[in-house]
Amino acid sequence: MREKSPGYRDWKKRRDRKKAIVEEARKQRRLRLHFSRLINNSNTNFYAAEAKNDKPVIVSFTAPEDFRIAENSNGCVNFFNDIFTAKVKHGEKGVVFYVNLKNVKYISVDSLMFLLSIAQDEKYTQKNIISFKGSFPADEKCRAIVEKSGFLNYVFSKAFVHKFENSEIGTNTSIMTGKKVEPRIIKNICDFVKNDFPNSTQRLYKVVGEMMSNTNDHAYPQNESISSYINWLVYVEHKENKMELIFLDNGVGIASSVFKKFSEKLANSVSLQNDTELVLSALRGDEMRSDTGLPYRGRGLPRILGSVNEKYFSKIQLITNKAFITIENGQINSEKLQNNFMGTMFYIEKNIL
Amino acid sequence: MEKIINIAEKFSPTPGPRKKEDGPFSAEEFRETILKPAFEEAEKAKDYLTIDFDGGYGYFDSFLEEAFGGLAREKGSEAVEKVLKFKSDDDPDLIQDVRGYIENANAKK
Repeated sequence: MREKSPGYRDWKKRRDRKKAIVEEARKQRRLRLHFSRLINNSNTNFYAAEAKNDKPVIVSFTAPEDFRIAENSNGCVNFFNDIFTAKVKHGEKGVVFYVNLKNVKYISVDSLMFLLSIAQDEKYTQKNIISFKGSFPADEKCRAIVEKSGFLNYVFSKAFVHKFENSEIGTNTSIMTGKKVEPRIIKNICDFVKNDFPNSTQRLYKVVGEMMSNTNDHAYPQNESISSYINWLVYVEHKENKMELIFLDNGVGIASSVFKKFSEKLANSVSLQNDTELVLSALRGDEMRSDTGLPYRGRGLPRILGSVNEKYFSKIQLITNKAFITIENGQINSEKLQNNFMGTMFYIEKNIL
Repeated sequence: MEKIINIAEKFSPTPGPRKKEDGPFSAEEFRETILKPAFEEAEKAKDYLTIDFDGGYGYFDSFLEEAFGGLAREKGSEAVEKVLKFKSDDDPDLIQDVRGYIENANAKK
């Protein structure tokens, strides 16, 4: 065959493609072999991205048995912070972060959402130098929660996964994500709950909108926001006689982003900042806390607090930085976390009457 | 003749954030393309302009503040209060909020 003839070019193209496929398969086989040697007693069930290098460094993280942020906030925060700290140490080379969920006995969608927010964020994956892999919980109920939450829509899975039919997912939405303020998604949430709460959807629209706006305006420094695939995650579920909504981001946190007085800045500089007081002050709206410095801003958080006081919602929990605040039946309870939660999580509950 | 703007019909049933760069159906877009031209027309004709909030999914506070507070910052609170009338059967409290945004649009820190 003549070297410059079209037939030869086609043949060469086919040969090169075949070669590339064989080489890729060899590379994957080597990677799997290497991976299975390093990880003992666990199986990789899902991954957020393939590692770039043939033989990446693998760092394993074991999730706490109670993997629910609200119920085991200190345990979960320590677990997430372990991931953040390890990232700094191993950030230079191709690294696989292996998240072992095998021993998890209790799980909630909030922790899966936070995990997802880290795994999908270029700030943490350092442009895919770090890739995330993980295993399903051995506990069947926990595994079902992972599958049903929509977590697997955002990661790849080679394991057998139960595909839920629409009628089966009737009790919850999938995890939804976005970067900016997306009215379309809030509309979907309102449509999802409107049969049970026909009189509360307008307030829900307002409150979720304020959460998205706050994340968009304050949670991420300008350059970080651009690098992230997603800025916020939201999830809604009907549970027996109530509706639950989780909204979270992995931004700087409310206590870090609010406007601080000089004395508060000073306290912050010597690590004496009282996150709970700062967040409560922003929620009450009793002082100018918007970092824009504009007097007509900073109304979003008071509106969220007002929604419980005016009985639109039964309960709100807010976890951000070292503050854990619960608002229920006109009472505000606050707790100081041991370590910094690098983000903001809202949990909203409404009872079906 | 008095003009009525129903936001859900004329703009969107799902109004969005404060600024255009924050997402679709922003207050800034609403103010620039619909509210301000209609306000100027009504003011010139020495007529009222009624804003109807019903029929949509709801409004973020930041949307209302930027649309109406923003108009008041540009045209003056008094002028806006003189021309605009409001209708909100779905959420009557909303009118009070909007009046507050207009009144305090130019408040200092």
